[in-house]
Amino acid sequence: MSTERPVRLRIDGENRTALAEPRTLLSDFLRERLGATSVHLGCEHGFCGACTVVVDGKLTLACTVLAVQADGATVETVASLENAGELDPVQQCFARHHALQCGFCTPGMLLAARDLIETIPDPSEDEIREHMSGNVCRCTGYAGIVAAVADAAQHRNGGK
Amino acid sequence: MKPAVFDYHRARNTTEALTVLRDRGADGAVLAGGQSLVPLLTQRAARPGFVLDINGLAELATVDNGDGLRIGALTRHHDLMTLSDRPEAALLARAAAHIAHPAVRNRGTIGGSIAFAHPAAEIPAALLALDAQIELRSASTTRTVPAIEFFLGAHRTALRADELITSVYVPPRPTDWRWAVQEIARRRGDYALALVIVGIAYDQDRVCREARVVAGGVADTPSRVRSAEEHLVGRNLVDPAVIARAGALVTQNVAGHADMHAPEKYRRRVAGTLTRRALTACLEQESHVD
Repeated sequence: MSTERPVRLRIDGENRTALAEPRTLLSDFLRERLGATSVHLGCEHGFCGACTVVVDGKLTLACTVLAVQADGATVETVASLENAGELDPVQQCFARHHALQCGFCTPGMLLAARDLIETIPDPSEDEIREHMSGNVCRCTGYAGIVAAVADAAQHRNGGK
Repeated sequence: MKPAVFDYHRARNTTEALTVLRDRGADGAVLAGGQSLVPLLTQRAARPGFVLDINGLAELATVDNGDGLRIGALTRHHDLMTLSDRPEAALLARAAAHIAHPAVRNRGTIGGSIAFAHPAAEIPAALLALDAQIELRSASTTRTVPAIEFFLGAHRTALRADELITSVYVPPRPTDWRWAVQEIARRRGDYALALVIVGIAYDQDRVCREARVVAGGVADTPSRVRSAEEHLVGRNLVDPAVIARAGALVTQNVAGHADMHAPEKYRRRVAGTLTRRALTACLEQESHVD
Protein backbone atom coordinates (compact mmCIF):
# COMPACT_ATOMS: atom_id res chain seq x y z
CA MET A 1 0.00 0.00 0.00
CA SER A 2 1.18 3.51 -0.69
CA THR A 3 1.22 4.49 2.98
CA GLU A 4 3.60 1.70 3.93
CA ARG A 5 7.10 2.66 4.92
CA PRO A 6 10.19 0.59 5.78
CA VAL A 7 10.90 -0.13 9.41
CA ARG A 8 14.50 -1.11 10.10
CA LEU A 9 15.27 -2.63 13.43
CA ARG A 10 17.56 -5.08 15.17
CA ILE A 11 15.63 -8.01 16.63
CA ASP A 12 17.29 -10.61 18.86
CA GLY A 13 20.66 -9.71 17.41
CA GLU A 14 19.63 -9.72 13.76
CA ASN A 15 19.09 -6.69 11.49
CA ARG A 16 15.74 -6.87 9.76
CA THR A 17 13.66 -4.55 7.58
CA ALA A 18 10.01 -4.83 6.62
CA LEU A 19 7.19 -2.55 5.54
CA ALA A 20 4.49 -1.23 7.86
CA GLU A 21 1.55 1.14 7.62
CA PRO A 22 1.57 3.83 10.30
CA ARG A 23 -1.36 2.14 12.03
CA THR A 24 0.39 -1.23 12.30
CA LEU A 25 1.14 -2.07 15.93
CA LEU A 26 4.64 -3.23 16.83
CA SER A 27 3.12 -6.42 18.25
CA ASP A 28 1.58 -7.35 14.91
CA PHE A 29 4.65 -6.22 12.99
CA LEU A 30 6.96 -8.44 15.03
CA ARG A 31 4.67 -11.44 14.69
CA GLU A 32 3.52 -11.15 11.10
CA ARG A 33 6.30 -9.36 9.28
CA LEU A 34 9.28 -10.67 11.22
CA GLY A 35 7.95 -14.06 12.34
CA ALA A 36 8.53 -13.37 16.06
CA THR A 37 5.52 -15.33 17.21
CA SER A 38 6.78 -15.54 20.78
CA VAL A 39 5.22 -12.07 21.09
CA HIS A 40 1.71 -13.04 22.18
CA LEU A 41 -1.48 -11.03 21.77
CA GLY A 42 -3.74 -11.05 24.81
CA CYS A 43 -5.75 -7.90 25.41
CA GLU A 44 -4.08 -5.71 22.79
CA HIS A 45 -4.73 -2.63 24.87
CA GLY A 46 -1.84 -2.45 27.27
CA PHE A 47 -3.23 -4.30 30.24
CA CYS A 48 -2.24 -8.00 30.20
CA GLY A 49 1.49 -7.90 29.40
CA ALA A 50 1.44 -10.92 27.06
CA CYS A 51 3.10 -8.82 24.34
CA THR A 52 5.93 -7.62 26.58
CA VAL A 53 9.24 -7.12 24.75
CA VAL A 54 12.36 -5.04 25.41
CA VAL A 55 12.90 -2.00 23.16
CA ASP A 56 16.21 -0.13 23.41
CA GLY A 57 16.82 -1.82 26.73
CA LYS A 58 13.44 -0.93 28.26
CA LEU A 59 10.59 -3.24 29.10
CA THR A 60 7.79 -2.32 26.67
CA LEU A 61 4.29 -3.43 25.76
CA ALA A 62 4.52 -4.01 22.02
CA CYS A 63 0.80 -3.39 21.53
CA THR A 64 1.19 0.20 22.78
CA VAL A 65 3.83 1.11 20.20
CA LEU A 66 3.38 1.74 16.49
CA ALA A 67 5.79 -0.27 14.34
CA VAL A 68 6.95 2.92 12.63
CA GLN A 69 8.08 4.26 16.01
CA ALA A 70 10.54 1.36 16.25
CA ASP A 71 12.49 2.34 13.14
CA GLY A 72 16.14 2.23 14.20
CA ALA A 73 15.42 0.47 17.49
CA THR A 74 16.85 -2.63 19.09
CA VAL A 75 14.19 -5.14 20.08
CA GLU A 76 14.54 -8.23 22.23
CA THR A 77 11.93 -10.93 22.52
CA VAL A 78 12.08 -13.98 24.76
CA ALA A 79 14.20 -15.61 22.05
CA SER A 80 17.04 -13.38 23.25
CA LEU A 81 17.26 -15.40 26.46
CA GLU A 82 18.43 -18.51 24.70
CA ASN A 83 22.14 -19.11 24.75
CA ALA A 84 23.36 -21.67 22.19
CA GLY A 85 20.47 -24.01 22.84
CA GLU A 86 20.69 -23.72 26.62
CA LEU A 87 17.90 -22.28 28.75
CA ASP A 88 18.69 -19.03 30.53
CA PRO A 89 18.79 -19.32 34.37
CA VAL A 90 15.47 -17.44 34.60
CA GLN A 91 13.89 -19.99 32.27
CA GLN A 92 15.35 -22.85 34.29
CA CYS A 93 13.87 -21.37 37.47
CA PHE A 94 10.47 -21.07 35.82
CA ALA A 95 10.62 -24.75 34.84
CA ARG A 96 11.79 -25.82 38.28
CA HIS A 97 9.06 -23.91 40.13
CA HIS A 98 6.15 -24.77 37.82
CA ALA A 99 5.80 -21.12 36.89
CA LEU A 100 3.96 -21.91 33.67
CA GLN A 101 1.12 -24.15 32.49
CA CYS A 102 -0.24 -23.11 29.13
CA GLY A 103 2.74 -20.84 28.56
CA PHE A 104 0.82 -17.99 26.95
CA CYS A 105 1.95 -15.36 29.46
CA THR A 106 5.41 -16.85 29.81
CA PRO A 107 7.42 -14.89 27.23
CA GLY A 108 6.25 -11.63 28.79
CA MET A 109 6.78 -12.98 32.31
CA LEU A 110 10.36 -14.01 31.53
CA LEU A 111 11.29 -10.63 30.11
CA ALA A 112 9.67 -8.82 33.03
CA ALA A 113 11.47 -11.15 35.44
CA ARG A 114 14.83 -10.52 33.79
CA ASP A 115 14.17 -6.77 33.89
CA LEU A 116 13.39 -7.00 37.60
CA ILE A 117 16.43 -8.98 38.68
CA GLU A 118 18.68 -6.68 36.68
CA THR A 119 17.14 -3.68 38.43
CA ILE A 120 16.67 -4.92 42.00
CA PRO A 121 19.37 -7.39 43.04
CA ASP A 122 17.60 -8.84 46.07
CA PRO A 123 13.87 -8.26 45.55
CA SER A 124 11.38 -8.89 48.31
CA GLU A 125 8.20 -10.78 47.51
CA ASP A 126 6.35 -7.46 47.47
CA GLU A 127 8.84 -5.99 45.03
CA ILE A 128 8.53 -9.04 42.79
CA ARG A 129 4.74 -8.81 42.76
CA GLU A 130 4.89 -5.07 42.18
CA HIS A 131 7.34 -5.30 39.29
CA MET A 132 5.51 -8.20 37.65
CA SER A 133 2.06 -6.66 38.18
CA GLY A 134 1.79 -5.81 34.49
CA ASN A 135 1.84 -9.47 33.46
CA VAL A 136 -1.40 -11.38 33.90
CA CYS A 137 -1.50 -15.19 34.23
CA ARG A 138 -4.73 -17.14 34.04
CA CYS A 139 -3.30 -20.54 34.92
CA THR A 140 -0.82 -20.61 37.77
CA GLY A 141 -2.12 -18.36 40.52
CA TYR A 142 1.28 -16.61 40.50
CA ALA A 143 2.86 -18.43 43.46
CA GLY A 144 5.19 -20.48 41.24
CA ILE A 145 6.11 -17.39 39.24
CA VAL A 146 7.02 -15.45 42.38
CA ALA A 147 9.11 -18.36 43.66
CA ALA A 148 10.86 -18.71 40.30
CA VAL A 149 11.74 -15.02 40.16
CA ALA A 150 13.04 -15.03 43.74
CA ASP A 151 15.17 -18.06 42.94
CA ALA A 152 16.44 -16.49 39.73
CA ALA A 153 17.41 -13.32 41.60
CA GLN A 154 19.43 -15.27 44.14
CA HIS A 155 20.99 -17.40 41.42
CA ARG A 156 22.03 -14.35 39.43
CA ASN A 157 23.40 -12.41 42.34
CA GLY A 158 25.27 -15.27 43.96
CA GLY A 159 22.88 -15.79 46.83
CA LYS A 160 22.48 -18.85 48.99
CA MET B 1 -9.65 -4.59 16.69
CA LYS B 2 -6.79 -2.79 15.02
CA PRO B 3 -6.41 0.96 14.53
CA ALA B 4 -8.14 2.71 11.63
CA VAL B 5 -6.05 4.38 8.95
CA PHE B 6 -4.31 7.61 9.86
CA ASP B 7 -1.51 9.78 8.51
CA TYR B 8 1.61 9.84 10.64
CA HIS B 9 4.42 12.32 11.05
CA ARG B 10 7.37 12.21 13.41
CA ALA B 11 8.40 15.76 14.35
CA ARG B 12 12.11 16.54 14.60
CA ASN B 13 11.78 19.57 16.86
CA THR B 14 9.22 21.62 18.75
CA THR B 15 8.90 24.35 16.09
CA GLU B 16 8.09 21.76 13.45
CA ALA B 17 5.61 20.02 15.76
CA LEU B 18 3.76 23.26 16.48
CA THR B 19 3.61 24.20 12.79
CA VAL B 20 2.09 20.83 12.01
CA LEU B 21 -0.43 21.21 14.85
CA ARG B 22 -1.40 24.65 13.58
CA ASP B 23 -2.25 23.12 10.23
CA ARG B 24 -3.67 19.74 11.24
CA GLY B 25 -4.29 19.80 14.98
CA ALA B 26 -8.06 19.85 14.67
CA ASP B 27 -8.09 16.34 13.24
CA GLY B 28 -4.94 15.20 14.97
CA ALA B 29 -3.71 13.37 18.03
CA VAL B 30 -0.34 13.89 19.69
CA LEU B 31 1.61 10.69 20.35
CA ALA B 32 4.08 10.76 23.23
CA GLY B 33 4.28 7.65 25.45
CA GLY B 34 1.29 6.14 23.70
CA GLN B 35 0.25 4.19 26.78
CA SER B 36 -3.23 5.69 26.66
CA LEU B 37 -3.45 6.85 23.03
CA VAL B 38 -2.43 3.66 21.22
CA PRO B 39 -4.98 1.48 23.04
CA LEU B 40 -7.61 4.11 22.19
CA LEU B 41 -6.58 3.90 18.53
CA THR B 42 -6.66 0.10 18.64
CA GLN B 43 -10.15 0.09 20.12
CA ARG B 44 -11.14 2.86 17.70
CA ALA B 45 -12.37 4.96 20.61
CA ALA B 46 -10.24 7.68 19.02
CA ARG B 47 -10.17 8.07 15.24
CA PRO B 48 -7.86 10.95 14.38
CA GLY B 49 -7.02 11.43 10.71
CA PHE B 50 -3.50 12.29 11.74
CA VAL B 51 -1.02 11.30 14.46
CA LEU B 52 1.92 13.53 15.38
CA ASP B 53 4.76 11.62 17.04
CA ILE B 54 6.66 13.96 19.40
CA ASN B 55 9.05 11.39 20.87
CA GLY B 56 11.93 13.01 19.01
CA LEU B 57 11.57 16.30 20.91
CA ALA B 58 14.42 15.76 23.35
CA GLU B 59 14.23 19.40 24.42
CA LEU B 60 10.93 18.58 26.14
CA ALA B 61 12.46 15.87 28.31
CA THR B 62 14.66 18.00 30.54
CA VAL B 63 14.22 18.64 34.26
CA ASP B 64 15.42 21.92 35.69
CA ASN B 65 15.80 22.08 39.47
CA GLY B 66 16.47 25.73 40.21
CA ASP B 67 14.11 28.31 41.62
CA GLY B 68 11.20 25.94 41.59
CA LEU B 69 11.07 22.75 39.58
CA ARG B 70 10.44 22.78 35.84
CA ILE B 71 9.74 19.39 34.32
CA GLY B 72 9.62 18.89 30.58
CA ALA B 73 6.38 17.37 29.30
CA LEU B 74 8.14 14.42 27.67
CA THR B 75 9.68 13.30 30.99
CA ARG B 76 8.84 9.62 31.42
CA HIS B 77 7.18 8.43 34.64
CA HIS B 78 10.17 6.16 35.20
CA ASP B 79 12.46 9.20 35.25
CA LEU B 80 10.06 11.15 37.47
CA MET B 81 10.55 8.41 40.04
CA THR B 82 14.22 9.34 40.35
CA LEU B 83 13.51 12.94 41.42
CA SER B 84 14.25 13.56 45.06
CA ASP B 85 16.03 16.88 45.61
CA ARG B 86 13.19 18.60 47.33
CA PRO B 87 9.90 17.53 48.94
CA GLU B 88 7.81 18.58 45.92
CA ALA B 89 9.98 16.47 43.62
CA ALA B 90 9.75 13.54 46.00
CA LEU B 91 5.94 13.83 45.96
CA LEU B 92 5.88 13.61 42.18
CA ALA B 93 8.22 10.63 42.34
CA ARG B 94 5.92 8.91 44.82
CA ALA B 95 2.85 9.69 42.72
CA ALA B 96 4.54 8.35 39.58
CA ALA B 97 5.43 5.12 41.40
CA HIS B 98 1.70 4.41 41.72
CA ILE B 99 1.15 4.55 37.98
CA ALA B 100 0.41 1.16 36.36
CA HIS B 101 3.54 -1.00 36.12
CA PRO B 102 7.15 -0.77 34.89
CA ALA B 103 6.59 -1.15 31.14
CA VAL B 104 3.94 1.59 31.17
CA ARG B 105 6.17 3.87 33.26
CA ASN B 106 9.05 3.43 30.81
CA ARG B 107 7.11 5.15 28.06
CA GLY B 108 4.29 7.12 29.70
CA THR B 109 4.99 10.82 30.14
CA ILE B 110 3.95 13.56 32.56
CA GLY B 111 2.58 15.61 29.65
CA GLY B 112 0.56 12.66 28.45
CA SER B 113 -0.94 12.06 31.87
CA ILE B 114 -1.94 15.72 32.07
CA ALA B 115 -3.42 15.79 28.56
CA PHE B 116 -5.34 12.53 29.01
CA ALA B 117 -6.76 13.82 32.32
CA HIS B 118 -8.12 10.56 33.64
CA PRO B 119 -10.23 11.38 36.73
CA ALA B 120 -8.21 8.97 38.91
CA ALA B 121 -4.75 9.82 37.61
CA GLU B 122 -2.03 10.55 40.16
CA ILE B 123 -0.13 13.26 38.29
CA PRO B 124 -3.03 15.71 37.87
CA ALA B 125 -3.90 15.32 41.55
CA ALA B 126 -0.29 15.91 42.56
CA LEU B 127 -0.08 19.03 40.39
CA LEU B 128 -3.16 20.47 42.10
CA ALA B 129 -1.62 19.79 45.49
CA LEU B 130 1.65 21.45 44.44
CA ASP B 131 -0.02 24.58 42.95
CA ALA B 132 1.72 23.71 39.71
CA GLN B 133 1.45 25.63 36.47
CA ILE B 134 1.21 24.07 33.04
CA GLU B 135 3.00 25.67 30.10
CA LEU B 136 1.26 25.39 26.75
CA ARG B 137 2.68 26.43 23.42
CA SER B 138 1.22 26.87 19.96
CA ALA B 139 2.95 28.12 16.82
CA SER B 140 2.01 31.68 17.80
CA THR B 141 1.55 31.71 21.56
CA THR B 142 2.99 30.62 24.86
CA ARG B 143 0.70 30.60 27.86
CA THR B 144 0.62 29.26 31.37
CA VAL B 145 -2.47 27.75 32.99
CA PRO B 146 -2.56 26.95 36.71
CA ALA B 147 -3.27 23.26 37.26
CA ILE B 148 -6.34 24.20 39.29
CA GLU B 149 -7.86 25.74 36.11
CA PHE B 150 -6.59 23.14 33.65
CA PHE B 151 -8.68 20.04 34.36
CA LEU B 152 -12.25 20.73 33.25
CA GLY B 153 -13.85 17.30 33.26
CA ALA B 154 -13.16 13.65 32.59
CA HIS B 155 -10.59 13.70 29.77
CA ARG B 156 -11.36 17.39 29.18
CA THR B 157 -8.73 20.05 29.67
CA ALA B 158 -7.85 23.59 28.71
CA LEU B 159 -5.43 22.30 26.06
CA ARG B 160 -6.30 23.54 22.57
CA ALA B 161 -6.02 21.42 19.44
CA ASP B 162 -3.09 23.46 18.12
CA GLU B 163 -1.13 23.36 21.38
CA LEU B 164 1.46 21.16 23.01
CA ILE B 165 2.02 20.88 26.73
CA THR B 166 5.70 21.77 26.95
CA SER B 167 6.45 21.79 30.67
CA VAL B 168 5.11 21.80 34.20
CA TYR B 169 6.36 24.30 36.77
CA VAL B 170 6.23 23.54 40.48
CA PRO B 171 6.85 26.65 42.60
CA PRO B 172 9.27 26.41 45.51
CA ARG B 173 8.01 25.90 49.04
CA PRO B 174 9.60 26.02 52.48
CA THR B 175 11.30 22.70 53.12
CA ASP B 176 9.23 21.78 56.15
CA TRP B 177 6.28 20.52 54.11
CA ARG B 178 5.40 16.84 54.45
CA TRP B 179 3.51 14.96 51.75
CA ALA B 180 1.74 11.64 51.46
CA VAL B 181 -0.09 9.77 48.72
CA GLN B 182 -2.74 7.20 49.57
CA GLU B 183 -4.79 5.33 47.03
CA ILE B 184 -6.89 2.21 46.83
CA ALA B 185 -7.35 0.00 43.79
CA ARG B 186 -8.52 -3.55 43.32
CA ARG B 187 -5.24 -4.71 41.84
CA ARG B 188 -1.77 -3.22 41.75
CA GLY B 189 -1.52 -0.78 38.92
CA ASP B 190 -5.26 -0.36 38.37
CA TYR B 191 -6.68 3.15 38.25
CA ALA B 192 -7.48 4.24 41.79
CA LEU B 193 -11.03 3.90 43.07
CA ALA B 194 -10.07 6.79 45.34
CA LEU B 195 -6.84 8.71 45.68
CA VAL B 196 -5.82 11.31 48.27
CA ILE B 197 -2.73 13.50 48.30
CA VAL B 198 -2.06 15.44 51.48
CA GLY B 199 0.56 18.05 52.20
CA ILE B 200 1.03 19.77 55.55
CA ALA B 201 3.44 22.29 57.00
CA TYR B 202 3.57 22.43 60.76
CA ASP B 203 5.68 23.82 63.56
CA GLN B 204 7.46 21.97 66.36
CA ASP B 205 4.26 21.81 68.40
CA ARG B 206 2.53 20.14 65.46
CA VAL B 207 0.26 23.11 64.86
CA CYS B 208 -0.63 23.17 61.18
CA ARG B 209 0.48 26.27 59.33
CA GLU B 210 -0.73 25.32 55.85
CA ALA B 211 -2.37 22.30 54.25
CA ARG B 212 -3.27 20.79 50.91
CA VAL B 213 -5.85 18.02 50.58
CA VAL B 214 -6.54 16.75 47.06
CA ALA B 215 -8.93 13.92 46.19
CA GLY B 216 -8.87 12.03 42.89
CA GLY B 217 -11.03 9.29 41.43
CA VAL B 218 -14.08 10.55 43.31
CA ALA B 219 -15.27 13.08 40.73
CA ASP B 220 -14.73 13.95 37.08
CA THR B 221 -11.51 15.74 37.96
CA PRO B 222 -9.17 15.84 40.96
CA SER B 223 -10.09 18.59 43.39
CA ARG B 224 -8.78 20.38 46.43
CA VAL B 225 -11.02 19.86 49.42
CA ARG B 226 -10.83 23.39 50.83
CA SER B 227 -13.03 22.68 53.83
CA ALA B 228 -10.58 20.02 54.99
CA GLU B 229 -7.61 22.31 54.36
CA GLU B 230 -9.18 25.22 56.28
CA HIS B 231 -10.10 22.92 59.14
CA LEU B 232 -6.49 21.79 59.55
CA VAL B 233 -4.88 25.24 59.56
CA GLY B 234 -4.21 26.45 63.10
CA ARG B 235 -5.13 23.11 64.66
CA ASN B 236 -2.90 20.71 66.53
CA LEU B 237 -2.31 17.67 64.37
CA VAL B 238 -1.48 15.46 67.34
CA ASP B 239 -5.19 15.46 68.23
CA PRO B 240 -6.82 12.42 66.61
CA ALA B 241 -10.14 14.27 66.47
CA VAL B 242 -8.56 16.84 64.18
CA ILE B 243 -7.41 14.10 61.80
CA ALA B 244 -10.77 12.36 61.96
CA ARG B 245 -12.65 15.55 61.18
CA ALA B 246 -10.43 16.18 58.14
CA GLY B 247 -11.40 12.75 56.81
CA ALA B 248 -15.08 13.38 57.50
CA LEU B 249 -14.93 16.70 55.63
CA VAL B 250 -13.46 14.96 52.60
CA THR B 251 -16.19 12.33 52.66
CA GLN B 252 -18.86 15.00 52.89
CA ASN B 253 -17.49 17.40 50.33
CA VAL B 254 -16.14 15.48 47.36
CA ALA B 255 -18.50 15.44 44.41
CA GLY B 256 -18.73 11.67 44.18
CA HIS B 257 -18.54 9.31 41.25
CA ALA B 258 -20.21 5.98 40.49
CA ASP B 259 -19.33 3.44 37.83
CA MET B 260 -19.03 -0.33 37.45
CA HIS B 261 -15.90 -0.42 39.58
CA ALA B 262 -17.30 1.13 42.75
CA PRO B 263 -20.38 3.07 43.86
CA GLU B 264 -20.31 6.69 44.95
CA LYS B 265 -20.85 6.05 48.65
CA TYR B 266 -17.88 3.68 48.80
CA ARG B 267 -15.54 6.11 47.07
CA ARG B 268 -16.52 8.99 49.34
CA ARG B 269 -16.10 6.93 52.47
CA VAL B 270 -12.78 5.50 51.37
CA ALA B 271 -11.54 8.96 50.45
CA GLY B 272 -12.10 9.97 54.07
CA THR B 273 -10.17 6.96 55.33
CA LEU B 274 -7.32 7.63 52.93
CA THR B 275 -7.19 11.24 54.12
CA ARG B 276 -6.75 10.12 57.74
CA ARG B 277 -4.07 7.63 56.72
CA ALA B 278 -2.25 10.21 54.64
CA LEU B 279 -2.24 12.76 57.46
CA THR B 280 -0.98 10.14 59.91
CA ALA B 281 1.72 9.15 57.45
CA CYS B 282 2.82 12.78 57.12
CA LEU B 283 3.19 13.08 60.87
CA GLU B 284 5.00 9.81 61.33
CA GLN B 285 7.46 9.95 58.49
CA GLU B 286 11.03 10.94 58.93
CA SER B 287 11.55 11.92 55.32
CA HIS B 288 9.50 14.46 53.48
CA VAL B 289 7.28 12.07 51.55
CA ASP B 290 5.49 8.83 52.24
